[in-house]
Amino acid sequence: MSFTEFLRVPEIAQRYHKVKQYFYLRESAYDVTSVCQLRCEGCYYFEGDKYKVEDNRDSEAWRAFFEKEKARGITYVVLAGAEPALVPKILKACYDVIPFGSIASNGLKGIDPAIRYKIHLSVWGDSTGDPVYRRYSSGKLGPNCLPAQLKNYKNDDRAIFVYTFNHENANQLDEVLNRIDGDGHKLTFNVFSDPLLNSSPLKLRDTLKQTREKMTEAMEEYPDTVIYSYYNAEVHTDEKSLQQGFGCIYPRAQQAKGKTPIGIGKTFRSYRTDLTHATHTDCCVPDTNCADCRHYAAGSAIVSSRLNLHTDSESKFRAWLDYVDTYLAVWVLGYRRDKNLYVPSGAPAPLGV
Amino acid sequence: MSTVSSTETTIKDILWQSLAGGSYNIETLKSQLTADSRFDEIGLDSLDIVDFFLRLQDHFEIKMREEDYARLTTIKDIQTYLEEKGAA
Repeated sequence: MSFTEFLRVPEIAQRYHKVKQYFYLRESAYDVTSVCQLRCEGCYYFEGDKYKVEDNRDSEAWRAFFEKEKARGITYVVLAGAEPALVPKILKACYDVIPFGSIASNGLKGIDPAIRYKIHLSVWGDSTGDPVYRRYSSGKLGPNCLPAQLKNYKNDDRAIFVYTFNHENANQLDEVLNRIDGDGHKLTFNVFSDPLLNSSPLKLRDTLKQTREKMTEAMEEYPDTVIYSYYNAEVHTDEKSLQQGFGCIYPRAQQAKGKTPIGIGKTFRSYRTDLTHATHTDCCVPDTNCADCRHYAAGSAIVSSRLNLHTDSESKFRAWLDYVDTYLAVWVLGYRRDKNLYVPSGAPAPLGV
Repeated sequence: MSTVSSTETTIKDILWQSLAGGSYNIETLKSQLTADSRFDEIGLDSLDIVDFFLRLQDHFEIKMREEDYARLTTIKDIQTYLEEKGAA
């Protein structure tokens, strides 16, 4: 069967038309402050030299900057490093100009409810692991973020929790998932991706298979809470990194390979807190080792953009549709994910929300 | 000449099929699009362009290499490409 023949299958056509409405999203990423309460092991922000620039703290300068970004065609913002919740005026300036986006936060401080972005709350482990992996900047054990996150985002439909699997924390998911499910929130998964220069003990080595099994178990046990698909689990725990499996489309990777950029490769920028960017670091996780990149945000662009690599079989196309449906549910406020279209052999009947 | 015009019409028809259901004003695009219009300059998104290429592949029964995508930026480029492939 071919692409156009797949689209004659009613459930495939319906899902394709659902996700196609969002093909227009054109994203860029912005570090908005160099300040954070925490120093997470392998934090993408404090790797490399991007945190060494001087912060622009003038919210009106940021507002004018976002106007230029909008004029450049950017329709979706990702506000990340270091801790965006600490600069509320800049968040407001951005939201006033580009009202579609997401914020990556540790959740220790709440964000103005008027800012209707999706809010990704990072979780690194249970009450024993999280304080160790995410210490205070003084080096002392961290606070265990989850209780504060649940308090600050109680009944907040913007929140989605992002559990980062590392080499040793797969079984710590149980406690975390139980609490998040109990509070009626959603959770998705990230996979720790090694920094380029300073390899971390948290890098997954022989634990990829265990991680995949844990992801699958969680999806099946908490189908209304866990926003993930079988295909997400497969590609993010494969021996090959995202770049090795799909080829990376971010400007950083395209430039490194001397390729002519297409799509997001032409428009994506990763801005530092001084409002500058550089093509050699224009990707969503600069200073991450591409050979180990399994980051959820990277996959959202890399896998989703590779439609043409998923049309040589119906099961691959179904898997891609699940991936994009999941990506939109994680990144777009109000978007609801449907049941999985792709179920690997041996898995139970289709699940999902 | 009539063959070329027929191919151009077919390519455009396939493009409109690709863009249906998306976020475009198709009538506006139809009024703007010429054989030389660059797809990115008239605001086509990259995934819609991939969708378009996949439909072209199926219709003309050819295999389009991903490496070729970057140079297929207009209807005229595609016409030439199809001629090179013996499909137009």
